[in-house]
Amino acid sequence: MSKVIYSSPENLKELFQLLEQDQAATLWAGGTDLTVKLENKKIKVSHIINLKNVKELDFITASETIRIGALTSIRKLETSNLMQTEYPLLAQASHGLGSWQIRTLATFGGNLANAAPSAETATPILVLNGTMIIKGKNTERKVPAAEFFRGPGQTVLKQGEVLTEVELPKLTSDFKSIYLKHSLRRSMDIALVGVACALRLDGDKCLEARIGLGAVAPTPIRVPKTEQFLTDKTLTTSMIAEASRLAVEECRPIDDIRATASYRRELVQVLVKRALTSLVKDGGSDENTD
Amino acid sequence: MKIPISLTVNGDKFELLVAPTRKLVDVLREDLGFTGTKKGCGEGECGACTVLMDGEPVSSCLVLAPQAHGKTVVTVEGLESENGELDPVQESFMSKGAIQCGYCSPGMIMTSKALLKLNPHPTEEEVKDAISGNLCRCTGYQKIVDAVLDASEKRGR
Repeated sequence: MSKVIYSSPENLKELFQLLEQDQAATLWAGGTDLTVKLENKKIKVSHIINLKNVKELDFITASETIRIGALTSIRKLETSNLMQTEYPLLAQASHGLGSWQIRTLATFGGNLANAAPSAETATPILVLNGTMIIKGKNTERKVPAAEFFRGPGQTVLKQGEVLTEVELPKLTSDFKSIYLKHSLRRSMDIALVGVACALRLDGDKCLEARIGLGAVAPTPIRVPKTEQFLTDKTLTTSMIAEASRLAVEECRPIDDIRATASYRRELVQVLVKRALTSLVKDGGSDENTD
Repeated sequence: MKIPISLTVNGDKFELLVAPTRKLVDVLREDLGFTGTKKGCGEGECGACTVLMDGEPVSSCLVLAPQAHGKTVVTVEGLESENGELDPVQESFMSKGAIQCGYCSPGMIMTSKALLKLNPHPTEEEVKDAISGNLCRCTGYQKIVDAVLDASEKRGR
């Protein structure tokens, strides 16, 4: 007989009451990571709090900024017209996550709070200078995306707190963006390297560059030196090649079961080059330009 | 602690008690007898357990049974019409030889159904993209893609 308790709050108020009553409770959204961990006995649960009925966290709204609720499914991010036009890199990254069956279940907040260094939606959020809205029972704080991730599986979220939404500033119309990922299988494979890139362009002159890398450091990272190097430069082939070499110097990959660190460095160079080239060339296709 | 849930499967409503960590796939197969849905890896990698939940494909091995409360689920058994006629997608899988051992077929067929509902005339690339979360160990992929395209053409006629 199972001793696990199950609760399904319908709103944030009920959720925070439950969290206060039982500090050992496990927050459960899409469950695509947690179910596997549970199945493999990597986590123990005593109390599951199902988040999927907290409908107030399932939204995408646009006004001065774009706000995305934490319970928004990855599938919704992938197929949303707003995402596809405003943030192609986030729509593309979402498309690359898991499989259709996974994306239906998996949530934006779950992908971020799970804090895998390879998390698909994390690098776009870094590149978009997102702000994480974190709520507790009577508290609310805003944390820049760049400060949210602390290590593999680690975030700044404290006991009793919940990531409720992410706020993203709009990009001006001269920005173009792309997300590229390399993995061994098309679906259901964790990225060996993921690259999120947004450039503000005037023709082939780069006015601003933002590049995020996934799976090459303990957290998703930006590469500020590479970004600075690209700023106010004309993006010639040699300039792009130099920038992709710089990005390699800024990452800190490790050897693991999926790939060696040196192979990951090679991938960073290739993917950064490919991302920059395709943005300069035609504004966001993922054609193989290498 | 067992949780009372109610869900609709293939048009029939069921009420049952489930443990919080029980998976939807086990409820479908073991409690309700819908063994058409296969359980492969049990961790969302293979797509064999794909069912439609509120019209969207999901890996039923990743859904906690209580999370399916109030949902409408369609399994491969639900595709057959009342007078026993198979769905056009099932017909195409047979006529195009898209079935070898058959283990991946229910999942493949459910994902294909979802695709064709959303996009009645997909390109070959769109078919491959949609079913990329379904593994076939017999490597019958080409015939599976052919079958989905065939079913799509039938719809057009």
